[in-house]
Amino acid sequence: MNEEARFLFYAGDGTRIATRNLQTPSYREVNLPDEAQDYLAEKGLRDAVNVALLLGQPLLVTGEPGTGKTQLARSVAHELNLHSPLVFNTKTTSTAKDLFYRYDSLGHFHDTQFQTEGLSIEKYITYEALGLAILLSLTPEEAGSCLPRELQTVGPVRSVVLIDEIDKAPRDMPNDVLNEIENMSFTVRETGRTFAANPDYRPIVILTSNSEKNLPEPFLRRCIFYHIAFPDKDRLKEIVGRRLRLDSGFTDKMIENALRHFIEIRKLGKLRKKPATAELLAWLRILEKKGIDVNDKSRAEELSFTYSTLVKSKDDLELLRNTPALIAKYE
Amino acid sequence: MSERKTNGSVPAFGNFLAYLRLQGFRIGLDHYVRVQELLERIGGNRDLDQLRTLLCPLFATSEKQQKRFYDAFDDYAELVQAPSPPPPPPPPDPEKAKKPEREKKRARLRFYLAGAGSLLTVLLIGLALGVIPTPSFMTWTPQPTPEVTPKPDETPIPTPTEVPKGKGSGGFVEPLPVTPQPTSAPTAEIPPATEEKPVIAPPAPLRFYLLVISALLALYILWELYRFLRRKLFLRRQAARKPPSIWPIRVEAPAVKIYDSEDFYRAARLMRRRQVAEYHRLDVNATVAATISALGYPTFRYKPDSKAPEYLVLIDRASFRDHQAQLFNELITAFEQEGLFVVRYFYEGDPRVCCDDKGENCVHLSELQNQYVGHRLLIFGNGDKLLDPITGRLAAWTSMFLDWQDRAVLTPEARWELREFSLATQFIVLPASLDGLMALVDHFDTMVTTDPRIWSPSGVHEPPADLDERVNVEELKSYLGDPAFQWLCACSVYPELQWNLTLYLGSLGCLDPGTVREQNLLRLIRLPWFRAGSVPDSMRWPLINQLGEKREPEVRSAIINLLEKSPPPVGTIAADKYDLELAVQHWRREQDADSLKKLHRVMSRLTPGQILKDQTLVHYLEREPNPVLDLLLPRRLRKYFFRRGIPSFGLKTGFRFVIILLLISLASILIRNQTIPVPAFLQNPVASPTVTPPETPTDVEREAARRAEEEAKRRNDLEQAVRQRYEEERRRLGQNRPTPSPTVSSRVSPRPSPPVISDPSLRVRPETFGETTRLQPGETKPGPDNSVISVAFQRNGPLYTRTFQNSDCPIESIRVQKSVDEMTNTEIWVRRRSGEVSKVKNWATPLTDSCKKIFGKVPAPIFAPSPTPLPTSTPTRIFARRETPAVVMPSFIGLTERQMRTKLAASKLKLGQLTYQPQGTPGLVIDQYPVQGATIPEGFPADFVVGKARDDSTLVPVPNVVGMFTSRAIRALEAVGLTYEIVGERGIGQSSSDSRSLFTKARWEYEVVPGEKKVFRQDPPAGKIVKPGTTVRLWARY
Repeated sequence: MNEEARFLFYAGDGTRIATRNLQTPSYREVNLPDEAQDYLAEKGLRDAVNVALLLGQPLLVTGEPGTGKTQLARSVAHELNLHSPLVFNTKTTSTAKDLFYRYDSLGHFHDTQFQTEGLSIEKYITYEALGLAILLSLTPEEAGSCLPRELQTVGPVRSVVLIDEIDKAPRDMPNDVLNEIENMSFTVRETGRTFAANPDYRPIVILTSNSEKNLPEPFLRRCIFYHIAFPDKDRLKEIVGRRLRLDSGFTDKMIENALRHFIEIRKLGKLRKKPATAELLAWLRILEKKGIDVNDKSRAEELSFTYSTLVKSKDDLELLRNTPALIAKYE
Repeated sequence: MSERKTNGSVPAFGNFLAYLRLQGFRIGLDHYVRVQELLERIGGNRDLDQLRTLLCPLFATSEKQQKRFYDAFDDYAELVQAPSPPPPPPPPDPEKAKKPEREKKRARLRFYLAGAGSLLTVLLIGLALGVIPTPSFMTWTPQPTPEVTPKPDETPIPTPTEVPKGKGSGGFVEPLPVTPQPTSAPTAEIPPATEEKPVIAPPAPLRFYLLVISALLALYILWELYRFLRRKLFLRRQAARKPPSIWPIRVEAPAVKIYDSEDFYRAARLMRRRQVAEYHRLDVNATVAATISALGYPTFRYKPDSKAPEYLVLIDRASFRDHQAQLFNELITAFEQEGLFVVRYFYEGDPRVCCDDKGENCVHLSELQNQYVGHRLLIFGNGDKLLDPITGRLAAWTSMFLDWQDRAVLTPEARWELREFSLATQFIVLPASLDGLMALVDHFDTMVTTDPRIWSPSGVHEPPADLDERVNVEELKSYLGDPAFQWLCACSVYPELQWNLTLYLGSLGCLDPGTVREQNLLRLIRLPWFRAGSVPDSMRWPLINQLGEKREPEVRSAIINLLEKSPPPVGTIAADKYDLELAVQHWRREQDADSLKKLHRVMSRLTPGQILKDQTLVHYLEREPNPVLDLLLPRRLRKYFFRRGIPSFGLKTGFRFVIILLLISLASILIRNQTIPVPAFLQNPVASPTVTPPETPTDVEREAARRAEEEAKRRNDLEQAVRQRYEEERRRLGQNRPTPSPTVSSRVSPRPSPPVISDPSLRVRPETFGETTRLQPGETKPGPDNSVISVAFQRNGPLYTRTFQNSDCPIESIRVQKSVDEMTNTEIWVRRRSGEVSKVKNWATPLTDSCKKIFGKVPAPIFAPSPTPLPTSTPTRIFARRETPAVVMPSFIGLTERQMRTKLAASKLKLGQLTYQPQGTPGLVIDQYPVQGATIPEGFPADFVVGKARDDSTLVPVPNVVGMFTSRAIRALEAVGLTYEIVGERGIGQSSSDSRSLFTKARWEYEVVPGEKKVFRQDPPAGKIVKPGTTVRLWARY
């Protein structure tokens, strides 16, 4: 059975899979190379993190998608020997309160229809990433039963909070959380209780932005800012070396060729979205699996199929497949 | 960088923070506090490199600011860095190592060239002085008489008047300037060397003349060579120039705030006012109240949420230097700093395609429509492209804007016309000012539509019309008002308009305080110059003059400071322009000879094309007072003498040559008239001035002097006789030969005409027909019947000939018998039909008695052998010319072609080129060459022109190529069979024949600038009927 036939689960010709001596593959979580210990921060980013830690201010990180903004939080938590970051994925409808807690008013209302006594409002409050981090900085007595049962005995600990893609939030949200983030405290309006973080265990807040929207100036002034530029070839090689543990069959020369090819692709001006580090790592993993050397002209067609890992739109894919400079070099 | 250290003290950063503020960073108290805290925490004595990345996150709030911070930090670190020990020498860079090598080579080349030039000069002067032996071609040939001993059978040497007009040579009678023959003491042998007279040196005036001429010529050649090499070097240097080619003046954003008024803050507050959001929230109070009213039945009440307004701003930007777009951008930036949420895009006339600030990421309006439909849309611009150009109404595609609920056009126009009222059918149209914005926000809140006419600006001056043409300065002043007008004048000092520079100049102390304000800017940006990014050159000159004597130096000083702060990298294309601009600004500020000299030095490194781009500079250069030149040469005539008409560019090449010729002529006249006395040391170049001549000549000397006098007299007589004879022959030939019709003969294809002997002292024979063969020693050349054989003997320059008439004494062959090492040993043998073989013993000696008669009539050699004994190694050549009988060209005019051919055959002539011309009587010969009566050799190919019916189809009209690019013009000409010659703007350019000399080519390359020229003149003009192949001259320029 040749290489291609091993992956021919769906042949598209009406034949049963059994006739090909194959089985439907079981789901296995794609293990993307995002181990925190393999993250490699550049000097500027490293200093920015340290300044944020020293001054206790939130760190705002911008950069192209896939440059490792989200990974940074994991890396910081790993190096500071903290538990996994508490992540808040910003939605376009998120409000400032959502960063700390959510109140299930409908459930509360519903329950009051059947049970008028013994209902605690605390039951309908769910603490979100920043709220949890503040609560975790408190002693179990101070936090009380606000924390989920599995976390009630953890504190006081320091946490890393990742507020991802804050630029997706409505315009008001960054301004609304200014004081709360600065003071690291919040009030649950429904119960009237106020929680303030223990300064010794002040949460480390990392915000990321894709710069889709300009954040308000007052908010920016309260943040430590760093923009992650796209790494150059040498640094890409370093990142690849740390993040991917490639087979020995995928030689350094093949990696070198792939990186050069990748940089040429990024230079194509008409790409709607340029592939970033994450796409590169995924692409290299595929090249490794298939054992493709980008300079191997005999496998140019196979190579062109792997482009779908790098670009995410039909136009970009066609552009890659039809770019004479790329074709001429690898045909 | 790793060596850089800081003491870590916070005050040390005070200046840095101030510097950052100047760079446009917003620095507040909190920044000071944070820096202090950070420094305390991290400790002092940190590397600057480390501080760079540690401090940046505190101040930067965007990618752009991050980069600017790093740049600012590096700049500041260089300023404050303590002097550090010199770094160890870096390893030799191979590129850099090559550089000194190249320099050495160049220096060596320069040394060789200088040496060669000096040597040439010394040689020329030495030649003139007689220090170096004069080559034979430069000697004044004395026409010495060879001392030939006549033999008994010799025929006496005829006088020139006795030259026969033989059968074969009558037509081209040998009007040879006969060398005086040794009638007095003829001898058949070459006299021994000891008896020969030395070469007589030219007379002293001639030597002096040669000296002066040589010196002048040498100087001229050296100067031209210097210029040529300099241009070559210049071209090489130009080719080695690196990018960037543009280095705009760098002006940091000045601290002046345009929008700092109360109106602005009020407008910002109004624009920030929250608006009703598209979604609703549960209104708890209203719900409770409603539920109570419903007797406990849950009744929900909602209220609309509010949100901060967001703006999508589209700004019309004609160019990156468009001040109108910059002003609006400044306004929007100021609003952003006040907390407004703005997304801005730029468009160029048509807002359907919008781009970001850098002009890189462009999107279609439909994408913006999908992404920002909830935003308030503000279009800054006059909205011209939103209207249908034919109907004047809004174009159909503008319906896309209807998706935006709140939309407005903010126009900078002063006059509101149909365009604004058409726009008002779909948009809120308001002036692009703070007042307009405040009114706009009110409109968004109240949604009350007002009549646009109430916003039509009244009392606003309109800019003068036709600003592209020459504009009245007073009119401009009236429109702008004095402060804005002075601002405009200040902006005209620099050739480009840049937003930051404009603000910087407006805030100079020499202008009125408060010049930089919105009203003045709005007036300025209505001038089209501020949209295009430059004031026309024709306007800069009068505007700068309006600045006044006090303001102009101050403005120039400010520009000089800016230029000197940010020089471009050395060796780049931009560096040339920068140097020129800096030198011009210095010169105009100081207006002294030193700065002008510096300017000329800079200009000498540039091409005229680079200089001519700045017309104002050209204007200044033209106006530069030059009392001597003004007296000598009126300004209107300068264009004929100076390159581009500007003395600073130097004299034209042709004119330089003319000057040298004039100098030579002047020297000749002065020397001939003995106005210039001949220096004493040149009086007798043969005898050394140190040798004292004997005071009393001896008898021998007297006798020698007497002989010399007699000899000279005899020579003069002979020369006169020869001249007279020659003139007679010329006259006779001239009368016999009819003058050809100029109209017809001009169309005859050009053929080399027989040379006209204008000077009887010429040393070459006039043209004879026949072929010349070079005979090698031992070679025999057959001599045909009825021919004339001329034997020529050439030795180191002079040519000696002997002609043998073959008809009376037929020569069968002629042979050079043995190697010719010197004249006396030369043996030439002639075999005759009679079987007689004889040897030519001497050039002036007939061969045999039987041929005495003939040879007696043969002219003597042109030049007698030199009495000077020549070294045996002197090259000697012997030629034999076989000459053919001549015929007299009959007339063929008026004959038919057939008759002509018959007659031609009868005349022993061949048919040469036969041309048909649409003139005269068709079918008849209308022209011939040679003309009737001309003596020509047998078998000569004669050309004829035969008339034919006019056929216009062979002629073509010249197409009109004026206005075309040269490549297109060439195609148009070639399409109709015409050739071309591009002569460039000033007669310099390229030709289709590409017959440029190296010098011309270098000059042409020197002048060439990238791009394609356009034809602005042609000759012959368009429409003229010409023959195919005619060359059309094209004048082209950029």
